[in-house]
Amino acid sequence: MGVRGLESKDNVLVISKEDDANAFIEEEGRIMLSRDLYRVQVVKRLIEKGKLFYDNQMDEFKLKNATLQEEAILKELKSKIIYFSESNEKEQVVKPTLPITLCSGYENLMEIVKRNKAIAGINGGYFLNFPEEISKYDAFNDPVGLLMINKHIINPPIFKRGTILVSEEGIELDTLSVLDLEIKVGNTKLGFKENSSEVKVKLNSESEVSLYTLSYARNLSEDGTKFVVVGKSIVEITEEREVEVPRNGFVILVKERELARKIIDEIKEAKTNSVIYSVNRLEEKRVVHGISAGPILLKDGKEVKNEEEFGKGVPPSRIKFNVRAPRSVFATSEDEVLLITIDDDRKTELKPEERYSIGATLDELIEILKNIGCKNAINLDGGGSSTLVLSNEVKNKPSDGFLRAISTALIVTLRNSFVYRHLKKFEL
Amino acid sequence: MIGYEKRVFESEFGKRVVHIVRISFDELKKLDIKPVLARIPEKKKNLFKLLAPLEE
Repeated sequence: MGVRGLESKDNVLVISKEDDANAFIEEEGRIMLSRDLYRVQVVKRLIEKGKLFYDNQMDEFKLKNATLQEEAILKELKSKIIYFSESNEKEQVVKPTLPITLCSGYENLMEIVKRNKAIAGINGGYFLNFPEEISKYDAFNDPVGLLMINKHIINPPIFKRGTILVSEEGIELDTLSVLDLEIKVGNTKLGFKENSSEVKVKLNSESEVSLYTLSYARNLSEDGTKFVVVGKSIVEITEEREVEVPRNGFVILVKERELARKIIDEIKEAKTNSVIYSVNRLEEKRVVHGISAGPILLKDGKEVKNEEEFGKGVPPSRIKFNVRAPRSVFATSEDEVLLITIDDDRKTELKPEERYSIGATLDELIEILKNIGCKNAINLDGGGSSTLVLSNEVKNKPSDGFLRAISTALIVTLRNSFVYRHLKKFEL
Repeated sequence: MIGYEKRVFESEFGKRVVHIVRISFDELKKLDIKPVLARIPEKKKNLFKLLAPLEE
């Protein structure tokens, strides 16, 4: 089989130009996605820079001096990179390459389940997965929405999203956004209330502090000190008038110079650029774990359809209720917790009767969930991320044809997993 | 009890293969359901570098 856009040179894949990279992806029968093209271009750059090369003796690709980001992108490309053997005169697909061990830093669901010695697992919340979702402050696979583990908020909710809350009393579904947060920067605690499209707070009745997310603007143009926050970290402190608003974070604007200095001094004294989040509502409910995804589909047996739940600019901004795709769901019935996936072979060119599985729209998904007996249900990240593992076995058919590196997962472990892990060690 | 079930839902548009892992609330007393973060590269900025422009 000839593959356009590729030529053999020293046993290393070379993609000659951008247009041909397009042809390559189309010829492989895959849906063209911007992230595929972007990653093919990354491979091209790595080969040109000599960072990616083929080791004849070891019969494998090797990577040297690549950044973690480049490694992560290569990991997702591992089943798509093709090389041409010098011994073959004709162009020929030899084999998929790039062993997982080559790409440290990112994990798929099976790796997460094994590392945590979990009984079962399902992919979790959304994450940044497209080049256009990345500002200079964000990175690929940054999680989107609340991630709370053992009462610690690892990642804050930014836009209003459906969230699974696991408390000492049980499991419930709720929605959370940046407005629910109390944010401790240095020793200064900030809470915010919405005021038109921007979020503002009056601090000590004199100092006004504002918070800006992507809902307000892509760029902020104001005088004052800006603290740019992504995840749990302050990634920039600046007095420049213009500042980019992170896609998956926020900017805190402090106009009063004295207060800004006080906060900076506190940060210096604490010797950390971390911020600490708390949510009163979650503390009152004694919530232990939380993870955002969305939308919530069923609550107390009733359909919930809140399309406004999706913020713009970050996943799942592309999700529509009427588009079929592979789906993952976390649900509860009268007496069970359910982890559910729906397969989608994505072969829309075939007749319906020839297809293995057609996926589901969110409306169709709700009907299936009711049929199964679900009373409460929330949609998790879907598409190629959709994966379900039980007893170290992948139960569904992920649509990429391989396990995608994801950002978060929901796992089921023995309650005393710490003790269990150590017992296992002694047994060995 | 933890159970696994594969169901096929037929429709006029084609079939849907659904995979279900069921965990009874009784079984859940012995288990933890929790979110976890996948390994992702460390990308924290150095605090010194962060504050340096403001010291000038």
